[in-house]
Amino acid sequence: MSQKFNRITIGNDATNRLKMLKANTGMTPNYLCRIGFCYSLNESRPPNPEEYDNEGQTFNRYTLLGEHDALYMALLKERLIQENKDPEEVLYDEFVAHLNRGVIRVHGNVRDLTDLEDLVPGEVKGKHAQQEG
Amino acid sequence: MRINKLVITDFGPYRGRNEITLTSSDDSPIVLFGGKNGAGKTTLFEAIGFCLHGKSSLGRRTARKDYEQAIRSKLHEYPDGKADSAAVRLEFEYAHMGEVDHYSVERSWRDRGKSIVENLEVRRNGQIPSELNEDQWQDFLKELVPPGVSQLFFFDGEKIQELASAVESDADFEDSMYSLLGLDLIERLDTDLSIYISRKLDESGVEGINEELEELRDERNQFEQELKDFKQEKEEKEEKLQELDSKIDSKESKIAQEGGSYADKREELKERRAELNASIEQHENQIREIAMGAYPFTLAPDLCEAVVDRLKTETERQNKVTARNELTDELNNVLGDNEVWQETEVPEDQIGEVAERIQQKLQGRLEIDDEEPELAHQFSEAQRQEIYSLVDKALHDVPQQLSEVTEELEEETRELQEVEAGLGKAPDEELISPLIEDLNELTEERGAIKSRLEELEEGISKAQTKLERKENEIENKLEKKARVEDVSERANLATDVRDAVQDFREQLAKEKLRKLESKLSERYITLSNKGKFYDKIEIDEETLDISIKTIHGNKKPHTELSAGERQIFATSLLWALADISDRPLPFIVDTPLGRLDNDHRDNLITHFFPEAAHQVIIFSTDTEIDDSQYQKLEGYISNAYHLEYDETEGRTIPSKGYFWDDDDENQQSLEEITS
Repeated sequence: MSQKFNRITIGNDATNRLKMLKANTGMTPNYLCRIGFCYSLNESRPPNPEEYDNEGQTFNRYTLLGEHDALYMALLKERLIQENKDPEEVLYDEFVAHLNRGVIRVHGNVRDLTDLEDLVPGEVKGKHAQQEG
Repeated sequence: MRINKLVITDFGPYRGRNEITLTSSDDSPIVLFGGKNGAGKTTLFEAIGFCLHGKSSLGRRTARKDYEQAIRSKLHEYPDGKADSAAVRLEFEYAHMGEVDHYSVERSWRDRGKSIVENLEVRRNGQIPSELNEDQWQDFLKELVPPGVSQLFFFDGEKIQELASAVESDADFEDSMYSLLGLDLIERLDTDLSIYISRKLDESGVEGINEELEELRDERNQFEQELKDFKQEKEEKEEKLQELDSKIDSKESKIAQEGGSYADKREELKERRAELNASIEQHENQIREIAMGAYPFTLAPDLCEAVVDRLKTETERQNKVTARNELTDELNNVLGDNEVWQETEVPEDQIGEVAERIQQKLQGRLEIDDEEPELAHQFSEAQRQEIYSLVDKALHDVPQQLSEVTEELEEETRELQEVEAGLGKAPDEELISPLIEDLNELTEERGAIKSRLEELEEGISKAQTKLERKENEIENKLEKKARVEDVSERANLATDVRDAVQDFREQLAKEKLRKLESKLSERYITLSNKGKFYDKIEIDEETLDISIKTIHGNKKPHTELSAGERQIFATSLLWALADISDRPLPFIVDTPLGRLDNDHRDNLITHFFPEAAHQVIIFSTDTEIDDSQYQKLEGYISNAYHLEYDETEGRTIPSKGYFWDDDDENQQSLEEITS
């Protein structure tokens, strides 16, 4: 049921950080949100939905996730399955929590476009290095 | 002089042509106009002045522009706009050498927008005076009715007020007295003569001229020296300037050489900067493109792989279940077919058991975990394929591309910083800046010399002018020297004239003052409400102090009079002055009683108005001359008019009779009478 949400409202803090990120990178909030979302999914500790308000910007789900909606949702569900949570019940709350946390984390790490490369986990870079070597 | 008729056309509040008869007789000298404030009394009063004196009726020094403005403001306002012309005509008789001539004077004005065109026509006994040109008419009128004298006869309450204040403050009074007595003209002649004499005397004297000539020649020599010095310095400076110019040229070419290599380098750096900026922008765009594509998934590689694994596992299991179900169904079909069994040698009673054994074996072979799928069922086969390739791209292609582009971008950014730093650096300072300093000093020096040269040129031209002027002066002096004897003769003559004028003035003043003293005493005692208490008025010849002597022989200075008494005093003074002017002019008085108490009013009405002159034209409000006072005057009145302002029409209509003549028959409008 909760899978059918169409509108997503993030917190005030994340909204402000999106503005600053946009100034740093020249990218629009939708794309920045996708990066933040995945960045948060890769953290081992789960986010706490209670930490974030919903006073900030509201997004349309399709413009937020674009053509790869399916994979983004699959990643979140996979994580929830691994955490023994019922995706049907907590999907929206978890989605928004990851989004908020991710945007805040990315803002803390990205000053310009070259910093995007630094966000890539070492294991992936490692593979790349191995392939080259 | 006796005024018989006033014709006023489109002037002030008077619309069209208004003919007003002013005839009076010696027994009944008064012509009375009654009108409330704003009815047009003062306009009639002024119209007489305008007609007789034109511009000078506003005072001797009035500018033409102000006069035109005054006339323009008098053009009558019709309901549909201003009249563009106006006229005032006076008809009067004037006795000269025992003969009475009839004059008519008409002054008319036409508004030409930019200016007012004035036309004056004078007729004597119906003829245009043959001995006068048009441009002499004004002078002729001035002789007939001198403006200075007419101000004694034509006066308004304000004039009395003015004179009354002058009486109060001594200094002004002296001036007013002299001017009213006509003594100021003689005084001016005296002053002019003294100026003339002192000038002429200054010019005379050969010794003085010789001294002056000496001085002038010294000055000329000085200027000559100055001019020479200037010219010399100019030459020097011009030489120096050429020297500097060639130095500056050589410095500049040196700087051009040194600075040239720097300029080339700078151009290179600028070019490189533009290249780098373009390339950086391109690489930034590439990064953005990557970041907007599969990049986010690169950030969660483990989850991506887990999703792919799960999807693949679940898909495989699903495939197996499907295959088993199909196989089981098919086997059951085969085992249920009797024909199949007939081909075998299995006895009929054992078929059931055999079939069951086969089914159990198959079941055992196709044992599968019967877990429910968790993800796979949410995606179509196409979606799953897309996810696999997306994850593959995110975990393999993206990191490689991104690291390549980022590396290039970082390198370019570093280089750009170096280029910018290079551009920000001053030119090879040790080489060029001393050259530039030298050049600046040279240029400054050159500027100083240039401006000194300009000064010199100006000085030269000034000195030349001064020199020429001095030479002229010297020439003039020499000419003057020749004329000196002639000059001293003239100066002596002027001194004689001046002595005579001074004598004359003294005699005249004495005589006028004596006359004034006696006339003023007579008039003041008639008009004052303390007439019985006052004996006479005395005027000090030297100081012009006026004092009033009482019957007990005490003297009271005129400055101690009360405000009302001063008014009466001023009126008496005007009257006395008019008397001694020996001009038989009519008195024309505008609102004269404003500030007086009843006693003084009564005195003016019973004594002044009927006796002041052979003709007295009075403009009055209903409060100045009220019903009972009108009764007292009635016997002396030849003509009385009521001026009534019609507010809705915006015009004044004069009618016969005074305020209280409200008998309908008498209250005919003039138009009816004259038509």
